[in-house]
Amino acid sequence: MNTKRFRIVAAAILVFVFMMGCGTYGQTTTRGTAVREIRMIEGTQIKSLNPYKGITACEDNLRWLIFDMLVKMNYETGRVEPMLAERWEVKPDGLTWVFYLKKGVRFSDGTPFNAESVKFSLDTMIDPNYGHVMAAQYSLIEKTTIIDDYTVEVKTKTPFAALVLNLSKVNAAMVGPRSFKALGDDFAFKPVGTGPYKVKTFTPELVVLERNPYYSGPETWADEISYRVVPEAGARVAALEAGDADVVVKIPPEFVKRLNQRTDLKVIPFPSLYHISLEINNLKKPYSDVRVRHALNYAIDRKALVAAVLGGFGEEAKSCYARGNEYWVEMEPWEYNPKKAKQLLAEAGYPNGFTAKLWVPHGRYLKDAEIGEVVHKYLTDIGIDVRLEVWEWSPYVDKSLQLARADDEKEIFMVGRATIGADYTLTRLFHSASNGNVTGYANSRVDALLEKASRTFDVKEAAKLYEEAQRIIFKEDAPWIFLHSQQQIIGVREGVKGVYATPDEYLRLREASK
Amino acid sequence: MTARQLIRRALQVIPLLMVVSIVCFAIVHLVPGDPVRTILGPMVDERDIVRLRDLLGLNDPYYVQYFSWIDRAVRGDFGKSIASGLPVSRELALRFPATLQLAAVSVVIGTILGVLGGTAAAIWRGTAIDLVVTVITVAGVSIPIFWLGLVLIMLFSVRLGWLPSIGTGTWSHMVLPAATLAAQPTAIIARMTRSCVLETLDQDYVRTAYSKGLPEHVVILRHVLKNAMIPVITVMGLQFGTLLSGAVITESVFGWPGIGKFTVDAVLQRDYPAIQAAVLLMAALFCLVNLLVDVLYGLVDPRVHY
Repeated sequence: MNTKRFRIVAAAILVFVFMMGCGTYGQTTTRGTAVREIRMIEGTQIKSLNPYKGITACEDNLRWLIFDMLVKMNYETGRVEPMLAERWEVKPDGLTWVFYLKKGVRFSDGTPFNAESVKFSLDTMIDPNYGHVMAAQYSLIEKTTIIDDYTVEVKTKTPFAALVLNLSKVNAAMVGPRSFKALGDDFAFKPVGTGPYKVKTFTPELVVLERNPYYSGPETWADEISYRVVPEAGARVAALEAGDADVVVKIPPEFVKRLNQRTDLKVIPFPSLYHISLEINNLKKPYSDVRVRHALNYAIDRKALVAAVLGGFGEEAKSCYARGNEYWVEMEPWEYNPKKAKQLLAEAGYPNGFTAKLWVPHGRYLKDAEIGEVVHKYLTDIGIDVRLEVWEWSPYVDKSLQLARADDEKEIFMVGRATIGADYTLTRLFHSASNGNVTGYANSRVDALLEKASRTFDVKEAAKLYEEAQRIIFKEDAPWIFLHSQQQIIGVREGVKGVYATPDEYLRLREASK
Repeated sequence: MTARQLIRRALQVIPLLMVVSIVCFAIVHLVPGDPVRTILGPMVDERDIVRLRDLLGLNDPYYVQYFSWIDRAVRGDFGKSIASGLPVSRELALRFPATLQLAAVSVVIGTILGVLGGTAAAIWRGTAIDLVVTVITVAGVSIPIFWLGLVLIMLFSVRLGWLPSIGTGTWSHMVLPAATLAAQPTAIIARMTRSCVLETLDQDYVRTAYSKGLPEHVVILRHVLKNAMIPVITVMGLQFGTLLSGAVITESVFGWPGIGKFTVDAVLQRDYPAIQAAVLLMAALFCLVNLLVDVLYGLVDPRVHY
């Protein structure tokens, strides 16, 4: 080999070695450091921590540690409570809200939190040029006025009772104006809020948060919280077993037995508002016949389904939305009665069944495709010729969540619903004029009840109206096949305390310690 | 290869990338599914969907969308990801080093082990060594990476506790993902080397080399391997090019922050700007690797001229 060629080869080798050596992304999680670090594993990539630009649950989990809102939701009482606003009031005109702010709060960049920062945050949220991802939720805000350093007035275009509920969401976070303006796009990686933590390192696979020096929280809270992304569920479980993680979410039920054999790990099921149903196109024949829809509901053994497919981590449907949500009423679940189902089909004029399309997504809800297979079997049992189609999520949501038509392709399709608030859930999904009602269900009695309930300030009266609406929907009209509500299975290392998952499937680590 | 030839080869890449961008754009937009609806989820307000579609220009005719994208892309602006609202070029730059590192290590492992194993199998053809290499290579190409990765984690992280199961940063973090990812290239390179070496061993010049009394290792290194390497280099280049477009499964199992998982997520979410930029990057890298392979041919085989 001549010298020239040798030099080229040597250079190539050097470049190779250099490439291999470079690239230390973020910090290594070494085992047993003095820093009290909680190591958490998620399944979805964290792309941005800007609260105005994304709504992914795993990103919101981190935003919740970094940001405060004016108000927060208490999941136990279902009521909105003070957070950065000490208290608030609505003027008699129903349009003017006054928020009185906490004093002495600082953002993690050291700047004080005051009326000016509230105005900046709210103005940014409603600025059409900025493009807040959920702008419609705040579109009724007309303007924000600074009364004094710690008082702001928010005017709405029309009376807007849900304003405080919407302001309790993480995408209504109060952002630090100085950093927000200075950083631009970089705010996604170096977010600045008034919460107990701030970002130490941000890489696509590992985000490390450290305590915000300007936040006075209890000593016991973790010094650092790290979020690592491992999309494969089996690998997440293995990482927990290997001691590389303290908290792991979305554990598939089949791993629970294995984890329960370990004394240093525990599996905690948390309730979830995710209510899984097979929604039915009520406008299309034969589903427009209520007897057919009753037959479909009688055909499925929900107890067996929850036990066998979900490993018991779920509850059969007892209303048209999940336990734990506002004004939820427990009713007698649909009985498993294939004989009655067949009889109802015969009465409706289908003694030999009919051909049905059943659509389910893959990988969106806990065991979605498997549930589809089980349901396929139950419906076949009562004589229906079921064509099961398992879909990729993106085209699925496009096709199934459009308004229903009588000549539609869609017939029976699986959707999980998890929204907080009786009005937002029931009116959105079952009112005949709602654009969120994608099954074409219409009942003027239900419409009237829901409209009346949303205008009622008397809690007892509202409860009565919502109960009646739920009864008609769940028992009488059965516009969907109501299946079950799922549970969140979370694995935690022994000694880690204060881990809590909200019913709408957010993980709260604010008070976590180790 | 002279500098002029090199430049000419590099320029040939440009029309190719144009074609790639058009095909990719067409496929991405023809596949059913809507990015806005997918990203915002089932419970979002219809007004937000309409507003976001407008903001992103998704209501414009296709040709307008394509040309405005190309117009910005040639100036280095690949647009913002719909999912994160951040510049796509930046998202890719964040993840590419991890992919490059893992791909490079895997190809180096694959080449060293593959060439050694393949050569040994050829020299000792028909013996136990040949059999062992054959069994291992068949296993290497047929074992699903997904399963191999999980088994390695269960063994080395959970049972033995020698290596971390996930994460990046030190060499110990690299071992399991690289071993998992190197399995297939190793097997393919070994099989290629074996058959090429076998072919070369039958050549007249090898017999001549033996008959003039050269020691075996000199014959193998100088005469056999050097001549057998051309196809092996081709395979190595192809493997490297493939690995550079990300290793979705390995990344998912080990939480490795490469571009593979990012791209698949982008496809599932119909994040058009992200898909287009990622595909273009992969195509460009493949062209670059091919160019490097051509340069290597010239180094290994003096007969190769351009």
